[in-house]
Amino acid sequence: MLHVAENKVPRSRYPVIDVHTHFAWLARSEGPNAADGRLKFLATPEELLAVMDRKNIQTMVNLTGGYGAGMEEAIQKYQAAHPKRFVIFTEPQWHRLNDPNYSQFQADEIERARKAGARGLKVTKALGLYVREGITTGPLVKIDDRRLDPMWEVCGALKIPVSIHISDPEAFFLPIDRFNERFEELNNHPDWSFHGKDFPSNRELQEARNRVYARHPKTHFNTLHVGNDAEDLPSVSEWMDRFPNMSVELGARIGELGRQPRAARKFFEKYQDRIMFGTDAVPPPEGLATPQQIFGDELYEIYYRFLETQDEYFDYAPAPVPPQGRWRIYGLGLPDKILRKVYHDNAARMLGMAR
Amino acid sequence: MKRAAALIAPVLLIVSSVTLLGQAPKGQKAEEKKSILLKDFRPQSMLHVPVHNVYRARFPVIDVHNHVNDARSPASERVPPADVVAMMDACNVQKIVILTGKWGHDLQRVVDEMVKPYPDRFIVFTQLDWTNLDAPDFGQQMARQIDDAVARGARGLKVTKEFGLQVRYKSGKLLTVDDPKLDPIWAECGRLGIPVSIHVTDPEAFFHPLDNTNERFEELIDNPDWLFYGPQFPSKESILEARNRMFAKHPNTTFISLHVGNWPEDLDYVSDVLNRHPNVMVEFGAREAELGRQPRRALRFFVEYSDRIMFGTDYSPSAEMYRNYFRWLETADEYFDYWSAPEQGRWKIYGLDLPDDVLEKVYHRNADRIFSQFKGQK
Repeated sequence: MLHVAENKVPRSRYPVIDVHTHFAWLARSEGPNAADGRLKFLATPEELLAVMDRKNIQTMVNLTGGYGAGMEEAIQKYQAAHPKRFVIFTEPQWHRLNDPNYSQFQADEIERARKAGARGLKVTKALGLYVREGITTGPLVKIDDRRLDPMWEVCGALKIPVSIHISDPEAFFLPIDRFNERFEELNNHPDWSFHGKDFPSNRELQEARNRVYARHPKTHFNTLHVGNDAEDLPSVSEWMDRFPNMSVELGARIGELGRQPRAARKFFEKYQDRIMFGTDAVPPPEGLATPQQIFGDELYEIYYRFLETQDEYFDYAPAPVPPQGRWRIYGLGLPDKILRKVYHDNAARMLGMAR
Repeated sequence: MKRAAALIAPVLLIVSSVTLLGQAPKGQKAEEKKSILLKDFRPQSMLHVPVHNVYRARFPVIDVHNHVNDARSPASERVPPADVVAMMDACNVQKIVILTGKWGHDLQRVVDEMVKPYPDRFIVFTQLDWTNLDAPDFGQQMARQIDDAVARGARGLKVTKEFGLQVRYKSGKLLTVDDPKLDPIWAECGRLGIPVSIHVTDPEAFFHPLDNTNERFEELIDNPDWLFYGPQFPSKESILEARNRMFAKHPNTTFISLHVGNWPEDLDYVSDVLNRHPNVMVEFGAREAELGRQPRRALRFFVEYSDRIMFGTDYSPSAEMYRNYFRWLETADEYFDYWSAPEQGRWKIYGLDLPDDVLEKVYHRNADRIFSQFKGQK
């Protein structure tokens, strides 16, 4: 019933690099055993470019670019055809974990992917939560497993970033009951619940990740989803202070940031050189399962409104019911100087893009 | 006013939002979904944000909207006055205004119990008795009743929300807020120098259907007589416009328009009312939730109308309740519960972090000024 100002932002104030999107992903993307490497393309370059041109999006980074032939197809279809507009990342091949010499093979694969045009490595939350010693069975592979050291190192040597998703919202580690603030979301995605079984705690996952950051100081880790603890900005700040090789992006977390606009604004002021614009956008119809991530005009207008205006009490997702939790958000009203860095400059630097 | 008990359980279910999009959730059939009753849903916030407790108000407080030990409280709900005063001392609450003091002997009882032993700590208001509304001289009768109440110690008139919504002539005709028959009442209050604390209409959601789009669904389920949706009720806007005409007609009477003029959801509207009617003040009893979910707009309102806003709660006085209001007014804390949450609606509030000069006016200076206007007889 509130009558409060609504300032529409149809185009961002500065050109945008969206460092977190999924317009292509492994055809069998859930879980670690997507062995054939075939990619599914969720939208054509033309479909994407139409929205991008309307919304002032210079570049979309597709993180889930797979590997091998699938990845190369994505590079040809998007990045090579529209070099300034699309960027493709590669991914590890967890299904080969038990092959002899996996450790070196994975590092070499990343070098090959880089030569083929891949611009970064994406590590999904499968690491820490799904990948097991027997691929799908046995104990969970540790995030700071030594076998992965060459992979992290080669990214640093090649000067390509690692976009890494570790752990998940704190509520996903709690029972799905009447006290869980993400009850409906977990009800819709029961496989996102990491409560019980043999799952490590949220903190254990984060600490293992932090040991990786400390061990590979020359590798840039873009820590997705605001370090995946947007609920706890004091902790994220502490990690940012400890690890100069860490940056964050915003994908699918404006719901969290926007319900604490004052704390979030301070976070942006302090770390303005290390925060990047990302949405985790997925084109429909696949995107419909996660309404906070449906690629399209509406999604970007919400992000722009959140970053640019001081509007109050508005929806963080284009959906009839707030999909991540029943609350509303408040705009940050960021100053131009910070906006430009977050929208574009920080990502351009990370991706080695010419100004 | 707070209702004691829920009579009917809320029945709205929380279910998948994905089904609204016509998509079956991955690997799961809709009927396997867990569902819970909305009334049972008690989501715990995962946010790690600063908490600043304010144990004592920064300046002495006058709560201009309360009902403690009022004329209608049954014996079972009465609190020893000394206990209330001790709590007030602990929180820096200087005075409490008991709005619902009724008249005659009922009023006398409140004066004797609360005001006489603690003349500096409690103020009591009188009320109108609608029984003789059809009498040709109803206005004059009420003016005399108010004279009597002031002689007994009342220092203001409270008008409850039945006015405009439910008070009717014997013919069934609704009494409008600007009915000239009441003019002698408002004029007499002006002559005596006592404020009229007036509650006209209610939250905007109370004028909408009680369905799954109503943001005060649970509150209305618990209090079905608070729903004013339907052809038997005038619109909220038309009642408020009649109220505004009445304000305009009695410029020498001070009106305290309760619950932020009863439209905190639309501060542009309330600002316009304050601009047009210099004789009108507001207080924010039981509207912390509305103002606290729009903290930036509310702060502008407080700064712009710092001489016109008074502290009021409309809740049973307790240290926890006052401290919640103090936190809301004095800190920049984020995403916390308003007092009585989630009774009014499922949202959280944000502190206003009022500057000291505004805070002091709101806490007590404005109320001091209004009560110093008292003239009494002759």
